[in-house]
Amino acid sequence: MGVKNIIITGIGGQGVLYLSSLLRRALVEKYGAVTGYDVRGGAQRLGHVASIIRFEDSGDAARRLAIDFDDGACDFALALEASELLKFNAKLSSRSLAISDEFIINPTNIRRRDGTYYGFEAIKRHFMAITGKFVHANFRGEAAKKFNGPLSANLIMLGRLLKETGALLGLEDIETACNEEEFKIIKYGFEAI
Amino acid sequence: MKSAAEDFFTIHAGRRLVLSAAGAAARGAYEAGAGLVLTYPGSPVVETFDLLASPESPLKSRCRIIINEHVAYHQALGYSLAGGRSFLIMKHVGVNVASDPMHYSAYTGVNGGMVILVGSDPGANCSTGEFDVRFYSLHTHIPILEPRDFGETVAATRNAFEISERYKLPVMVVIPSAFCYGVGSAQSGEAAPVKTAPGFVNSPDYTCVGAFAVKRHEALMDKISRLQNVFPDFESDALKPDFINNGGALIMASGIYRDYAHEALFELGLSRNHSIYSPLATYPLNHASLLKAFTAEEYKKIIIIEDLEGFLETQLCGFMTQNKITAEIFGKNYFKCAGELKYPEVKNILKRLLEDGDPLCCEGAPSVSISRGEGFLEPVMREGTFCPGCPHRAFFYALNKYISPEDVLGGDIGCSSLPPHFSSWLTCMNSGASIASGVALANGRGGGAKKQKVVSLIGDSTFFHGGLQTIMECAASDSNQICFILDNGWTAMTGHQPTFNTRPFQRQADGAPQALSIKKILESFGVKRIYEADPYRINKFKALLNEIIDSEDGFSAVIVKRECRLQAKKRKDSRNEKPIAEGLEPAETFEIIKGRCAGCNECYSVFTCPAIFKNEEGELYINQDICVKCGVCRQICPNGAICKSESSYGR
Repeated sequence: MGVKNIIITGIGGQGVLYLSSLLRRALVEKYGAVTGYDVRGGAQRLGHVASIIRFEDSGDAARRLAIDFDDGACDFALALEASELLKFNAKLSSRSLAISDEFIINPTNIRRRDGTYYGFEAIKRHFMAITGKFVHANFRGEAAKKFNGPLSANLIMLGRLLKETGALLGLEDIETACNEEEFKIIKYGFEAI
Repeated sequence: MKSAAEDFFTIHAGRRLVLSAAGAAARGAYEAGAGLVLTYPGSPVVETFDLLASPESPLKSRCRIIINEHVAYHQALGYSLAGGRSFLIMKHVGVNVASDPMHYSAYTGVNGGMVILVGSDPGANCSTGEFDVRFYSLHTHIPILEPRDFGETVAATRNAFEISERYKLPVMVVIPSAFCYGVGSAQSGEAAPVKTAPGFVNSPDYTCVGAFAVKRHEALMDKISRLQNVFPDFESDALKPDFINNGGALIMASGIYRDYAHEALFELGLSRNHSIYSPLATYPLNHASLLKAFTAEEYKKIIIIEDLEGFLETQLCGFMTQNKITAEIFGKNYFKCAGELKYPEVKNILKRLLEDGDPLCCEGAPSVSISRGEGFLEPVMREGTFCPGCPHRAFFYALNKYISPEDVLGGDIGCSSLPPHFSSWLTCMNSGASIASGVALANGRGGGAKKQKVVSLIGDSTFFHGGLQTIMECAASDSNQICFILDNGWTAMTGHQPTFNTRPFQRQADGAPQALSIKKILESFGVKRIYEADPYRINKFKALLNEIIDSEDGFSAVIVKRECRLQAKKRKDSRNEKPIAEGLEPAETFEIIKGRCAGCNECYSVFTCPAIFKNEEGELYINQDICVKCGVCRQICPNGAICKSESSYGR
């Protein structure tokens, strides 16, 4: 109990910012306040995008929270593109639970020289060594199969995150923050993945 | 479910909103009853204008995108002199453009509240520079408020209008990019009725010449002195600094760093051992309240936490010298001047400075080191890139075939400036043709000894913002360069705001002029050689480049016209609108035929379209979820391996 720190990351166009807006809305309803920041620089150009979400779950509303948090203090991380979470290596520790899509997009600078990039297996080994729990799946493929396009992967992953957070935030908490169709997908992520 | 924007304007006072700081500033301006909202789009404060100009906004008809910040500043000032409340939104580099009228506005003073929201950008996350914009106030004398949290951003922006009216000065509200893009909870206040301008009344105060200028300067210094000394009879609670006196060291922190200091002290177990002083008004610093703080305690150690270059530190040192206060100052000798200050850095420096003699104070601090053993992966910088179907990608692909690395390519601001930074320089708005004209002069006709080609770039938005005078000058002097005007129809980089050549599409409906033709403007400037090209028709475009790149002497302009693909698609999908440019309308689906692909990687590594992927076997394929069907890849494939997919036939 206390302050909880969440990282959501991916690349521009995957829906990182939309996902974090749903989560923030639900957290405010439940806990009264959130803080944090977004990295939006690459939102339009397939670059790095991230959201930091912080909240206090023990009712100490008077405590002032910085928008950023300390190294090693991440509780939950959601990587819509697996290699983007490497940018937050310093924030992760054995207290962190990370959920990642197996989907990887080679950066343009790697492509330009036709170089090789990290494969998912290497990324998996990396995060398994530094986090307390590393959950991964082909969320993008699952979304394409079940929900008419891969862009719903973010909502499926949110469902999985809710499942992992336990009582911190439940399906019922997110229901008011999203529409019916979105809720269906989140619920699928919660129950089926 | 209501949209976020609907909630934003209909929510009752006292309710909680989840907002970015940019959004919180918009709410503050709405609550203050701003009668005029002006901007030239610039990240990180685009959202502020977008919210106020949204279809749900009661202020939408009062919002205007202006040609540049200089003109916008004058308009805001005029509205304020006529008695209305004006709200001006710009990024920190916009202040450079507005700085001339900004200086004079402090002399003339204002009538209706005039508030300038400035998004600064420590870390240059969304800008070409990261200078400390606050230093403008040391010579313009325009007061600055730096809100410390989301709720306060609403209140500070609202109250800035009151302060502006009370002191007859424009007021700047400065929020850094991390905070602009930060999201937190804020409480809504009561929205005041819109304060429109009752009418302009002549006054000698508005003439800043000779003896009048000296008088206005005196009056300005008097206002600043009042602001410095209003305590203890504060005229406005809004200006009260946060001050917690626990003895120990005095930590002075501006903006978001107040909460960094609070949290770091809490985590270090030192909350009750040290004092925190955090001013909302960081210019001018309130001397009366500082004196009170220094009278309460004889601080031996002062730690100053702020972004960039030591703005508080400069003022505090002046104050301490004036008042013969001595203490050891730990500011920019500990906290970096360049780049974004992050929480772990703040905490670690505080730990170093405060833990002396108290080894228990760091108990509970989390470990910050991770083991970099075998298999540890370092993050790879992900270069920004053009979106799928971006006409700039096709343009640069073609141009790079005709210029060598030794040639000169003058870069400018806009989407065309995205990495990998093909250009020879990239500085401020209108840097492309302007600097190129100087290089062309240095080279002389024929490109000098190196036979350098000089070409320059300018986006359509930048063309109107600051490029017009440069193009006139280049035409008049027949500057030896080819200037490419990349006309994608929108200020695309900041979220597709309309430009003067797309005005019929713009949101502000009243009094919108007709779209201007860049070609006609060039003709009227006397540009003799004007060409038009569509980068999607890449072979035709290459033929044009082939014809002009070596043969021209003197000034040529090429209008490279193709609407931003994202925006064209969005408009078509949502309102079934046609693209701006005539001609090829992409509709066909393409695929890479395995047997024909020779693996040359032209589409993947040179053209670098993000919709083209390589599978584990090294085979290339088009990801149809990302592809926007621009068809340029088909034209550039040297092996004819990219073809219309079978599903496209028969359409």
